[in-house]
Amino acid sequence: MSTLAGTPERTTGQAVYRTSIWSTRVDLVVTDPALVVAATVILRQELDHVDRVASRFRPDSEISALGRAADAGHEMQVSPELLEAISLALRAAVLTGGAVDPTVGTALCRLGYDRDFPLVAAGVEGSLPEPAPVPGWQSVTVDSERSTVAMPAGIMLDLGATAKAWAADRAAGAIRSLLGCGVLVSLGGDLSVQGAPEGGFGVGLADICGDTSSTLAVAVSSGGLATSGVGNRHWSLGGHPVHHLVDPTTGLPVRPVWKTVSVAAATCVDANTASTAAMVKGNAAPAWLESRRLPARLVRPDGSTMTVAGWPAETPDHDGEAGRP
Amino acid sequence: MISTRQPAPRTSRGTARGTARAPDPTRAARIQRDAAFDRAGSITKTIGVASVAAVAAFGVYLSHALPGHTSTPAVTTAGSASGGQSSAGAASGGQSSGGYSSGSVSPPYSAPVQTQQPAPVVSGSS
Repeated sequence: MSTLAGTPERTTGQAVYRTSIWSTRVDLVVTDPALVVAATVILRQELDHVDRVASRFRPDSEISALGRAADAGHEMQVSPELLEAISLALRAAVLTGGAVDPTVGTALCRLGYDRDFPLVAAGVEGSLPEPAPVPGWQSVTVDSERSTVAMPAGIMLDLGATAKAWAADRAAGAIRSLLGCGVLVSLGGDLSVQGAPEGGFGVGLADICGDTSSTLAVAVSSGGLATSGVGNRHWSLGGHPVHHLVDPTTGLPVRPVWKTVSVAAATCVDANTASTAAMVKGNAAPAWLESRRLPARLVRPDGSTMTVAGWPAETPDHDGEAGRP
Repeated sequence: MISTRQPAPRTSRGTARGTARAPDPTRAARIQRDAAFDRAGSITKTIGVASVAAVAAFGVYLSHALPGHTSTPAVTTAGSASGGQSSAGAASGGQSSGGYSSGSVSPPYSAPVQTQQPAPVVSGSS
């Protein structure tokens, strides 16, 4: 898993550290270059901890043990961290009307995404399953006083829509509180900002995380920003193109109305919750985002964009196709 | 209190014996005093019980009226979307430990702004 053997860079009073983890890109930016090594250590500890708790790809993770307990018909007492991770996933389901549902794990496995993504990316044997709704977040019971979680047998939780963002929020919060510097933590383009310098941290926007060819950039001063899309994590299932964003009502990949959706919110968890929900909601997404005052940028498959709720309008200088409502 | 003590009739032998005895004024006074104490105690007890009940009722009222309090039970099954509070943090009706609001996906304090400054990080689908 974690290969936090990245490379520090220093630019204009900020230090940047890059590496990869969970088959995705990790960027750490701190406003005091002298603290980059200490910040890296904190980041590693936080990510390792979240991985041990919430990775469905690790048989020794706590969430895998929860699945085995459920299959055996038992509830399980869980750590405060897993309790919070599952609670946040259920909260995301509530707040999105079920568009972001943590019980999609089994559906993802049926699509072949049952191991680390690099092992899936080359293609998977099999055929597209028949549409079937996922078990539903309502079937998961959390008792916060007893720290227990119970769910029916056969359910596999996938916390992908919230756990990565939660890890970014945790790491940024820990670095900020322990070291006192401004910090940006980006996990696969889902980023959390605390104590930004004047003018904010510059963040580029692209279809694929880490693609530096785009000249479009925004400044983020606090909270979170996340981009969801189908351009990166996709594969072939028996010759059918599939991707990782599952519609809970069908258990199949969503029909991509948007190529990417970027959302800014008070936290990275909220930003990623909203961007994932927008991908699932399709044409209903702009109104849903607007009603919640969530600044967002939505990119259509043809590359044209629309912005809502105060996201800065794009001029043709940036990508030449902006502003079509 | 008005005194009811009356002088006893006297004979050559002092206080008459064998005739109808006048009530012992000391005893009567004691009985009256005890009765008054009983009444005062009863009134005090009533006021005390009423005060405790009023404070308890006010506390219950406050627990429902003030923000951040709810009667939502600790056991939260996912339930319906309207019932909605499956999050441990959400059950309190306020902020969870991580600062996540239970009631909505929270907007940022300030929207992103376009910038020409260097962008060391790129956000995109991953």
